[in-house]
Amino acid sequence: MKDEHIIISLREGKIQKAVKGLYSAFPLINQNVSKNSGSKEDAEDLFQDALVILYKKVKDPEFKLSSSLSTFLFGIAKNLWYQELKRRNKVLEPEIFEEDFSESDLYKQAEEAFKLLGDKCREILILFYYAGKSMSEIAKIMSFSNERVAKTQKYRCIEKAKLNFNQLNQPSL
Amino acid sequence: MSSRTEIIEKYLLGDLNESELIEFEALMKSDPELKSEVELQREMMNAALKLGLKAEFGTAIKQLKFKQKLIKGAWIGLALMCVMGTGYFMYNKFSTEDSVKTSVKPEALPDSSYQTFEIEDKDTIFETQGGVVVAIEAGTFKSNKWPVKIKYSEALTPLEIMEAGYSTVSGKSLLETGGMFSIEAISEGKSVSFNKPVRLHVPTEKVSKDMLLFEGKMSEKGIIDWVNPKPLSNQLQTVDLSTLDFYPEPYLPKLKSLKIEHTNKAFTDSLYYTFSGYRNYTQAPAVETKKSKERDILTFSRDKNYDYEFKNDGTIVVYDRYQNFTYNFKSLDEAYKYSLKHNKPLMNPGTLEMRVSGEYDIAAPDFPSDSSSIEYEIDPSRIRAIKDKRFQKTLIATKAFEERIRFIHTTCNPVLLDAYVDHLEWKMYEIDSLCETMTQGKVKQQFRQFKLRREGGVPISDRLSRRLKSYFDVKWNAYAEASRKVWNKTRLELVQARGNVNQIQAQINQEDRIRHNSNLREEYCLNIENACKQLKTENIYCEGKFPSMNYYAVNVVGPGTYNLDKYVIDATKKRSSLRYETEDGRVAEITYTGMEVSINGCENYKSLKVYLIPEKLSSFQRVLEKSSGVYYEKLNMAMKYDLVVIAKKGDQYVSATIKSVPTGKMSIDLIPINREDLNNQLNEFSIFGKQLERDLIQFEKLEIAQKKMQELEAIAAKRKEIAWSIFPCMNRQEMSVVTATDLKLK
Repeated sequence: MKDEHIIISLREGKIQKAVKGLYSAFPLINQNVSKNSGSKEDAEDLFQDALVILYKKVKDPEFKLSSSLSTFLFGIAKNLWYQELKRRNKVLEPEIFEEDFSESDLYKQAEEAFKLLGDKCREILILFYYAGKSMSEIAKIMSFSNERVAKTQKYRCIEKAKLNFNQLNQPSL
Repeated sequence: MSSRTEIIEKYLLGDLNESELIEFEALMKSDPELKSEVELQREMMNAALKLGLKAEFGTAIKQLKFKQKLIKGAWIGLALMCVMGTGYFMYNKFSTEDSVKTSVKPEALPDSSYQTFEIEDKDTIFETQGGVVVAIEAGTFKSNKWPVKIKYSEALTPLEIMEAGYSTVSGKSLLETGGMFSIEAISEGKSVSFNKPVRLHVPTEKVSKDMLLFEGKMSEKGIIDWVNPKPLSNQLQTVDLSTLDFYPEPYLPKLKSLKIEHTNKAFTDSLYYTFSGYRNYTQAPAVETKKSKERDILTFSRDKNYDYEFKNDGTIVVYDRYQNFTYNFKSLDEAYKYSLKHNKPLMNPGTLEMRVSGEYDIAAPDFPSDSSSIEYEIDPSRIRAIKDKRFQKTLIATKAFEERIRFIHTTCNPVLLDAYVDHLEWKMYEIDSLCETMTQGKVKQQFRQFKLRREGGVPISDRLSRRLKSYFDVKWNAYAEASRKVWNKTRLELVQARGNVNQIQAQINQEDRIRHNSNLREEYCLNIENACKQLKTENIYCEGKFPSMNYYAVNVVGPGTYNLDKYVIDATKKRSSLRYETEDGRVAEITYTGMEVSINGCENYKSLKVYLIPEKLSSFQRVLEKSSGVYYEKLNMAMKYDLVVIAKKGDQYVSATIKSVPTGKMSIDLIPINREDLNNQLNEFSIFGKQLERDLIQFEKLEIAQKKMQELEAIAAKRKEIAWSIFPCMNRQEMSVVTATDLKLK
């Protein structure tokens, strides 16, 4: 698949089609991660994170590709993995990147807090915010008795996430 | 607290109205804690967005990887045909240029990498080390020596494929593998070809629709190129409905044997559809009985609803074909009791009794009239309804269904056809299984065979399936109804034609009788007058009224003469000569002498009629044929006769007339004559002319009516012939009274 086609697929939200074209970049990323003290699981997680960033980039109409898509994806992955290693306090030679793909600290912590939620909570919130499902649809999908219950559940989940966040940021005793 | 989160969400999603927004923003300014909470919640939303997207990528990757793996569970059927020692690939087209090609000669593989199996010439199923189930039918290989060795190797996982060194290249594109295998049969050290497909069931966790079966071709460089891809999805391939043959199997051969155009599909279709309702107008199928081959079953019989098995040990099994229910009875007595108690027609004591007493060839038992709702055989209207283009792209439009419908015809059970039409959204083998449960005996076995093929379905929405089902019900009933009307009409036609013939024939017979009677009386008078004259006695027998021919009106007038009239009546009736002698020696003689006329070339003529015109009587006399072309009658010597012969040669009239016909044998030739001249010729015979002409017209009418009737009967007979090929359960003795005029038989 040509890069232009992959970009079109991504812009149209045809994730599967795009992934089919982009997956060829994975072996190289995997190689890089395993060379730098990472596991296969790390590489897979990293690959997905890189895809999300690529997706967001591509969604920008101003986006212009300066290299091949797989090179670009590899660049993102390398960048992200560097930050991850830094977070893990692995000693690294300083490396300069053209672009910083790292997120704000607040976001990172919010994501951590979010990940601590139960499966059900994560699902409700993803269905609502990401998939754009209505509360009645969510009630159906998740077999809540009605829309009202689903809505209440959703707010509880947000509150739980906030609680998780606060707990993460409390100075340890 | 809850409302706080809710309001923040509304703010973030832009769901606050203007006044609420102003108020909220003011609140945020004054309350830094609220502000940071809003920020946090915003990031939570972002986290949901990102993780949702990430999850979607994760799923897509997982699915992609699934396709590259071989996984256990579902079945894929592969057919390998007549290829020896060739490897097979199941592949997805994956990616191109940037992929790495690998290739190693498979020949280089050591023999140890092969698995070998020895098989005999019978249906064999074995499982390979990799879990592939190989099914080989009897007769697949031809060999003089058994067992035949099956040399098999497989590479099902990417690792195995790499180790085996198979390339994964088709032309220039790299393939995604679903597994590779090579299979070869060896007999006496030589490779044997495949006469039948060998089925391989390759385990997989998820069936990919894009999987194709490739054939391995070795290039000169020793690299395998995978060519000739074929789809292997167990989903059924639909074909154009019009190319499928849903006829009962004997139908087309029958048309061929009857020399009816059997290659014109439009014609054979419309001919077939005219048989819709045929079975409703013929009698219900008579009970078919046959001696069972199985030893424990004394007799097996079936009528329109039930199968009966009368076993040697006295037990009776009654199977309700429509309700799919089997009744077991220990004895006839029990069956009777059950029958009376539940008022079940299946237990009709008469039916059972006749079976047991050995009278097997009886008519259909007397079932209640509500059984009219049950149909026998597959009405052509049903086939017509499913031949509709609406059923394109459904499992009806498949070769697999063609095979089934042809079998269903032989079962005469429309319920089995309905099972398929009612479940278009199912997989083929699921419906096969349903049919298996509904049937018994050999039929059941056949559906089991079908089921074991595990053929899939054709994807179709439930809604469409329901729509097609109701379309089918409406449509075939409408076709059947229309056909019923045609049947009624054509049946009436034949009945009328037969009535016409009978009517005309009856009229001719009636007129003949009247002529005969009046001639007889007249001739009697003539003879008695003659006799009296010879005896020189007064004629007292024939004055005014003639005596009835049916009894003897005897008047005794004097000695020696009182039996005269009886003798004369006898002589006249028998047309035999009479010599009557009175006691005083007077003699009266009445003489009849034979006349025989043979018509030259009579085989060329039809409706040959020979008339005698007696000079002294008032009606003509019909001369009957003695043997082919020879007409014989005894002439009364008391008068002269003229002879008229009329016949037809094709549409041409031919005739001959002989005035004062002589006695004895003669032969005559007939001369062509047109209708008008014939009339003139007949008119020469004064009053007889009119009679002859009328007779001629009557016969002309009869001829037309007979021709019409024969035509209709010929069609009906031919249709009956064809019907036997369409309705296998139709009894051969059944009378069919129907015909169709829309059928143009040559």
